[in-house]
Amino acid sequence: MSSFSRSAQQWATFARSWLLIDARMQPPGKIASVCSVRLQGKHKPIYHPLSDIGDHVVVMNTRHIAFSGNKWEQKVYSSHTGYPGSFKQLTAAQMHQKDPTAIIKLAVYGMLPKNLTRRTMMQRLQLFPDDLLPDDILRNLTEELPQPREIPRKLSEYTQEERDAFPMLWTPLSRNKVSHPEYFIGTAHLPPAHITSGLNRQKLWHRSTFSDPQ
Amino acid sequence: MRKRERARRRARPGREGVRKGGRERMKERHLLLCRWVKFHIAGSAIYPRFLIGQGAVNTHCGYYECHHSCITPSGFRQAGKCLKRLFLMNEIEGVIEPTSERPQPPNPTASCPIYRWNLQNKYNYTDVLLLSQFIRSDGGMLPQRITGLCAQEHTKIAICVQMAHRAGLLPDHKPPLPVGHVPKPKSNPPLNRYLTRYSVNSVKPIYKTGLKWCKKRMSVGHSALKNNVRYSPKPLYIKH
Repeated sequence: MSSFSRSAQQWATFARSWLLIDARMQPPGKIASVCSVRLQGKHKPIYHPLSDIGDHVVVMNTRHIAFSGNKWEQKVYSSHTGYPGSFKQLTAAQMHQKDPTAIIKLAVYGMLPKNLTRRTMMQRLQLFPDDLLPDDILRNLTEELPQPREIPRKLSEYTQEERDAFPMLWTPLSRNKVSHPEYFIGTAHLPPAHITSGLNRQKLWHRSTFSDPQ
Repeated sequence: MRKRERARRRARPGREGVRKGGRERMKERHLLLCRWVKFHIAGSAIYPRFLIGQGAVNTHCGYYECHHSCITPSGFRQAGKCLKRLFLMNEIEGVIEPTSERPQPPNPTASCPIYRWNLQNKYNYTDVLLLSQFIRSDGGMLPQRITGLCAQEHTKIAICVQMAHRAGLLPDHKPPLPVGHVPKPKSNPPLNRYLTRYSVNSVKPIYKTGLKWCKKRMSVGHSALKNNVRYSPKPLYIKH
């Protein structure tokens, strides 16, 4: 801001802020890309890869992330320590059960630049499985980032007014073939019996009763 | 064929071991009837309506309450038979009601309800209000000959309903558990997912994904919905 003094302007430009993001019902890849952008400092116009101007990012509710498709069963995380017989392969579901923050941690690690600054940026990333955050981090937080994915509403979350306002696309009777229609509906809306013969009366009944396609 | 089935059902005891008496069965049938009639009341004015309100109804069966709920699977035929019997015995009065104001479809001459309302290629697994109109109370799809959907839209709706179930968007449309069954406490809470094409227990992990030019991709969503309207310039990715 031009109304700031020189020192305040300097401070506002180069400050390292603490950002919060809620990962509930979000795909971990999208959360990780948002985190990596903020950790590198690429969202700032003064960015330079050597200048270390990334922010701190705190991710909460990592236990409640949502994978699209069948990735919980299909995605496999492999690791090898180098020793023979230590090749481990875990599905995303098994990994998540072992450590609820591991999936997002690995995703962010893979999205950061592959240089020595990566480790310092990972230290600035804080992951919490639930929404319980320690006090000192809570005091530091300045901004909450918007969630990348819009969470769809369940049927139980719609109010009765919204459900009533939604039109009915089809009604049952227009498709049902009734065997003895006279017993149910009656013939009051047709011309009297002495005018129409039996066959015509049936045809008239069918045409007049089933004319409404809805 | 039906007589044999009925005899077999009478010989076999019920799942709970207790056979329902005639009065209880009649009560159930009346409940089904009332649900059907409540649905039917919202139709057009051509048919006379049988005014059975939401309160108690005085029939020879006794006083019962009407519950406004989804269509039960075997409800239609039984409801129709009960209604026919009650009408013949002069227990129900036929009253012609004026039409209630309902929104009209923009394309009334089409045979499929989706085409009537111009919703082709515009719905997704998140449109639960639309999908809930084509499902039973236990989550299964209603047959095509009842709903009037064309074959392609019926499959698309079925796919969206499946995805909505797996995403947990239809929590009240679960199949009923047997009476007296206590579900085991689950050790892990269910994982959140969306756009799941395959059943959860049927999918195998991809241990060897392969090189970039021959990678085994993980499919997301369904190819039947690839023609859906998109308002962003990015294409729809089905293989992740």
